[in-house]
Amino acid sequence: MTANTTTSPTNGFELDFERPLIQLERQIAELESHAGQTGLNINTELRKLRQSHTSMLKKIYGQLGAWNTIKVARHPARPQSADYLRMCFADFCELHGDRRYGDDAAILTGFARVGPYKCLLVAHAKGKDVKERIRCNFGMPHPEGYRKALLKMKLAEKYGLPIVTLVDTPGAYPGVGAEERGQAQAIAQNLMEMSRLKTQILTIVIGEGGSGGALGIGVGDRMAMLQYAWYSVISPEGCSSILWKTGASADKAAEALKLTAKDNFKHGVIDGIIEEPLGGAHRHPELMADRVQKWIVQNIRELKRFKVDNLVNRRYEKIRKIGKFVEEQASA
Amino acid sequence: MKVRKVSKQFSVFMLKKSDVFFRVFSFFLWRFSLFEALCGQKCLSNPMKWDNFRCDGPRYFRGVLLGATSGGLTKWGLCGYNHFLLTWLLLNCLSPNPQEDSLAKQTPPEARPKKSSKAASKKSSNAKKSSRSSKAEKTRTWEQVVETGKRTDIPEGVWMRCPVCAAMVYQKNIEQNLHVCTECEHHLRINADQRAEQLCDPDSFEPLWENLAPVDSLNFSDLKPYKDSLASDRKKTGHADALVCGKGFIKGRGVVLACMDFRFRGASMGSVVGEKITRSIELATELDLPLIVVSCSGGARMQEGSLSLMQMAKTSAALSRLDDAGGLFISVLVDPTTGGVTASFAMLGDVIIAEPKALIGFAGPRVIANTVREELPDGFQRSEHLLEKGFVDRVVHRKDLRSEISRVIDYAGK
Ligand SMILES: [Zn+2]
Repeated sequence: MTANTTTSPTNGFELDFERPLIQLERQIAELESHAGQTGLNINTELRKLRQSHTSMLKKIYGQLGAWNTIKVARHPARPQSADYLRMCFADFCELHGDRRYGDDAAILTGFARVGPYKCLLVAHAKGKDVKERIRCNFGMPHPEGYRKALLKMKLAEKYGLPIVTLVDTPGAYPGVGAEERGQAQAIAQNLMEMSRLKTQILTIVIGEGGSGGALGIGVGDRMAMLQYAWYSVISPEGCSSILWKTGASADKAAEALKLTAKDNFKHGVIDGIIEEPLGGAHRHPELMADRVQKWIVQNIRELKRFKVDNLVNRRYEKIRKIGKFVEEQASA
Repeated sequence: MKVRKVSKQFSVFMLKKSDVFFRVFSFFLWRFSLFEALCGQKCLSNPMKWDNFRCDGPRYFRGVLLGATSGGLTKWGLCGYNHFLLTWLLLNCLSPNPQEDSLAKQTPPEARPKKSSKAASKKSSNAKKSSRSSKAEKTRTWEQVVETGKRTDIPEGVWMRCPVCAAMVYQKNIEQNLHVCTECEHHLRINADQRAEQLCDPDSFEPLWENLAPVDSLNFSDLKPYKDSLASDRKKTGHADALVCGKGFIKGRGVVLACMDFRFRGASMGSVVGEKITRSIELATELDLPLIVVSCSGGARMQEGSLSLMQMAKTSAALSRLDDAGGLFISVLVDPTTGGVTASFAMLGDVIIAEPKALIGFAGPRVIANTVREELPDGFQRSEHLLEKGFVDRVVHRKDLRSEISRVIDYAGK
């Protein structure tokens, strides 16, 4: 564990608010290598440094603002659906294509095993390197992605497999082709069909949950967010350019949108928060994957207890209740 | 058949028993007029203008009564066919002469003669103006007589410029033309009340759940606190949020109708809009009535964060139940329908009707242009474009909306 902490997990990418942390990490690494070379006993020194490193982590991550949360959620080293696929799921059998137009790499679908259960995995894919990112369109799906997801989810319904969706998208792609092929219609169709699919649906927002693009595969019985993921109606940049008339107020917009896991939980939008390891999922991907897997298995187990019709009714009631308003008494 | 000339303009046909055609004709005329008078359905009194003619209650009833009387009299052979023609002419000519009307409006209010003595003194000092205004008062039309408070939200001013063809047009003409430009057929944006009034039979729309009001649960504030924007929009529109929904009749067919009001926060969907749409859907499901939603929206309401995002799921889930119950949902898309509203209920209509040249899309054109960094093709994201791409069933002119909707309702057997 300690070895993990000291080797910088950030792939050379630095978040501005993590800079002192990373400096400390470098110091520790230097000292370790130095100790290895010279054979000097500097354990106490190292322990001290590590302690201050941990306390600094706690301090920084304990009061992470909304904007910094977004930075963590977008961290290039943050585990993506492909990583969770590798670490939480086994025997993945990918299914391609929407049978209408094409295959969208931004949404990954296929059968998989999680713990003792068979399931259908639907996940946004962002891609690790530049080539892959371009292929996945940076995790921004086209309509065919949503149609593919729906098609496979219907398969899962047919064979009684639970559906697990991993949400990680800045939003659905706003392009000419996407519009012409009915981006809005594809998402709307998914919302409607997912609300009545006769099987268990679990959703986890693992990174970014941007607007309709996230919701398009995110309607289900249980919904959780990772601690430093964000989920909202619009990206803070988009919100800032509309409401503040400038893209520069994204940090203010992020604060105002209340898009963190905690806020979403408070407003009843999600059912649970999966806590991240100290310092974010990118520091301990394995530990994170372990927690994610546990959550999935536990919730599938719980949901399997309900009869399917009952389940669909409960899902409807759950979604039906979301929203805050007042019923004013007529004054007259 | 005997024709007796009563005066220069007026002659009476005296019917004999052998005038079978006229007897049958007048019998039906009478029955239809009575039907109109009793049921409030228009079927005869205005056959030429059928849909784009809206008249107010009292004037309408007067016309109907005239029609009924004349029809009846004709039936009994007491009065002539001319009488019917006269009634018909009366009905159509009673619509105000725009020029005289405009004269009355142009006269500043203080120049109009008042009953008080103060006004009398002004009269002498302002003789020319007041003589003009008194003339205007003499030629008052039905429009003015039955004027209620309904139209107060329309901006003052007699002329307006069409935003598309830039022609100067009479406000009054535009209003009578259902807010469609008389020169270029551009469909101007109208608010929810006007929409409900246009679509429903006169006085048949009953709004529901008007007491639902938004709360600022995120404590949101951009350049202006959300609470203040809500308050000012409420003042502007007279509604607590951007949706007016309720029960009504369209050409005698009972419907649940929901109309979005673009003046209120760009008709964005927050918790209240989502809840009201959902309640409308549930009501339509419960009563097995056709559901008609007229969408025009900037999308989900940012100021309510992910709560408004979830309204997309909520409305869509409710629609799945309507669908399961075999209900009919007609989605009418008008300019502009974008974002989360398009990506939820608006695109889930069993039948989707769009007004001509309305902007309909998921992302706004500016966002797309910024993303793809190129000029968007002409007519991109407009109704006709969507029709071509297969995402809209029909593009329908505003004056035909009522008849098209009722046609679909009939075919669906609702
Ligand atoms: Zn025009």
